Amino acid sequence: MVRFASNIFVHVGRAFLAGCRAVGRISVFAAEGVSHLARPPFYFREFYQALLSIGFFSLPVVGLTAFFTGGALALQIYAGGSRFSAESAVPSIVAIGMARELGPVLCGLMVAGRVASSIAAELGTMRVTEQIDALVTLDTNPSKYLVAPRIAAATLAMPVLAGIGDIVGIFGGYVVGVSRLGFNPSSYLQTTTQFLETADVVSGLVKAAVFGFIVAVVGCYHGMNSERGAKGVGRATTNAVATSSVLIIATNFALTELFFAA
Amino acid sequence: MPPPAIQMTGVEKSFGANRVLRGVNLSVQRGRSLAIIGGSGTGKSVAVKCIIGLVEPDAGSIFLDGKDLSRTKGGFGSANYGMLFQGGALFDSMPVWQNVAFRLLRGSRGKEAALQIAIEKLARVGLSADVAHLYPSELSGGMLKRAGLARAIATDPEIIFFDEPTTGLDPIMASVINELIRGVVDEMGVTAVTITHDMASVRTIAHEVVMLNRGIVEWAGNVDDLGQSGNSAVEQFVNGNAEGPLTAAASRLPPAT
Ligand SMILES: Nc1ncnc2c1ncn2[C@@H]1O[C@H](COP(=O)(O)OP(=O)(O)OP(=O)(O)O)[C@@H](O)[C@H]1O
Ligand SMILES: [Mg+2]
Repeated sequence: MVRFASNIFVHVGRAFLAGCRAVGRISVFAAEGVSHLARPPFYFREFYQALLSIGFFSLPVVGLTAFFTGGALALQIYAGGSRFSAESAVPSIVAIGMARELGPVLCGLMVAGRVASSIAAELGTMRVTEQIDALVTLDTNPSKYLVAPRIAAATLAMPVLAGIGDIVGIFGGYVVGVSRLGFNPSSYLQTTTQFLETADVVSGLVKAAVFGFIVAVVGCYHGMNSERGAKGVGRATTNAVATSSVLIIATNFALTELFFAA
Repeated sequence: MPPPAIQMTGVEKSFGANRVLRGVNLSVQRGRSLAIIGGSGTGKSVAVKCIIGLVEPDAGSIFLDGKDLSRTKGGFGSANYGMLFQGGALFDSMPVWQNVAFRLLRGSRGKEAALQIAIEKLARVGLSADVAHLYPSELSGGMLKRAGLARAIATDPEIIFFDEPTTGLDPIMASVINELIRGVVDEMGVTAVTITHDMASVRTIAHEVVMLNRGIVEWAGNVDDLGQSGNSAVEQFVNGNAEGPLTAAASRLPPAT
């Protein structure tokens, strides 16, 4: 029993240390990518393409997720609120919940699934087919050419996506509130904006930017360091999604704590 | 005599427990053509990647025109060189012509001029202008190789590395490529380092030959001496015999992992 317990500690300790090492390596990797943003040249074409694939093509996924979540949120808050006759709070709580928490986090997780995986798979394939080596022989720094534009694109695109997610989510709540819960359309909208503060929205968008940064950095990191063969690329993709999702959830807590204290 | 364009001394490289290079020494003078031959998996590609700096050696030194690269800013990047990768390594996100003109497009030249140069280089490796606008995924293996070759020569480099330039090509195309390599060496004074298994190709393109065997240089010499090397491993390789020291050593050796 004692031995079993100490074994668990050994395993947990090892996993914790491995996690710390990974975060350390990813931080160094991120610092290098960011440093390239400060020094020319900047590859606009790569940036534009990344913006399109990260931002624009994520819109359907983010929109659908936000819409249904907003709707579900309205139902749940109504169910809970009616226990102490606070049904009228549904519109503002949906709005605050979407803007502060669900908009950025859901958007972050959906983008982690969609984008971190595709970045890792793309760069991983480039690594194993020697395309990244080829960049070096063509006098092009792979980090500058591949990593920096993706970091910039994801960090800029995510707040926009999350902002759109907020609006669509609130709209989802509105649709459910008006059609199922008997809210008056104009008073629903009025209550929505009444209690929503700028800080709610801004804090959510800042979170989203950080999540976008995490998704791009982690996706690029696993792709660039992919092991050889199809298996290596597969593992890089899985790791990218898992690592970025966990980091998003953990960072979300840290940021919420920070904004809450402020 | 001036220092060699490229020189490796005592280069060692392991991947985990796999000791790939065990002290490789080789050199090539400016304007000369060196062929690196040797069995599959003996570390030929790794050796070339060590020179370019894509793989960091565990030990040993690499010199470019007599300068130790570990002490030169920018490493091998300071040389004007091109490289054909074994698998082509074309960027599959862009059409063939943009691959070939990759560096030109980043220079001051316009897009039209870059396209013209790309088409001209593609013609030199026997690819028509139609191919220029295809994506790498739409090409055959041999076409990929030739497009990679066009990219390697696109900026008229002074040193070119070819990793198996004729593997996967039909005999006619292989001769075209051999002539091309010989041409850039003879006419433009390019220094060429070619990895190949193709003995006909070695005799056409090479001045010097180095044979790698299990991570060391088994034999080095002039291409004309290849027939009278007096080395049984070289003889086996050149004649393509199934029996001989190369295969005997392989079956005696414990697995490399
Ligand atoms: N990045 C790498 N990671 C791990 N092992 C590697 C790596 N690159 C090469 N190797 C190993 O090094 C050895 C030599 O590989 P290399 O590609 O140099 O062979 P080669 O002589 O070029 O063979 P071929 O003629 O088949 O191309 C092989 O055992 C290979 O598995
Ligand atoms: Mg090879």
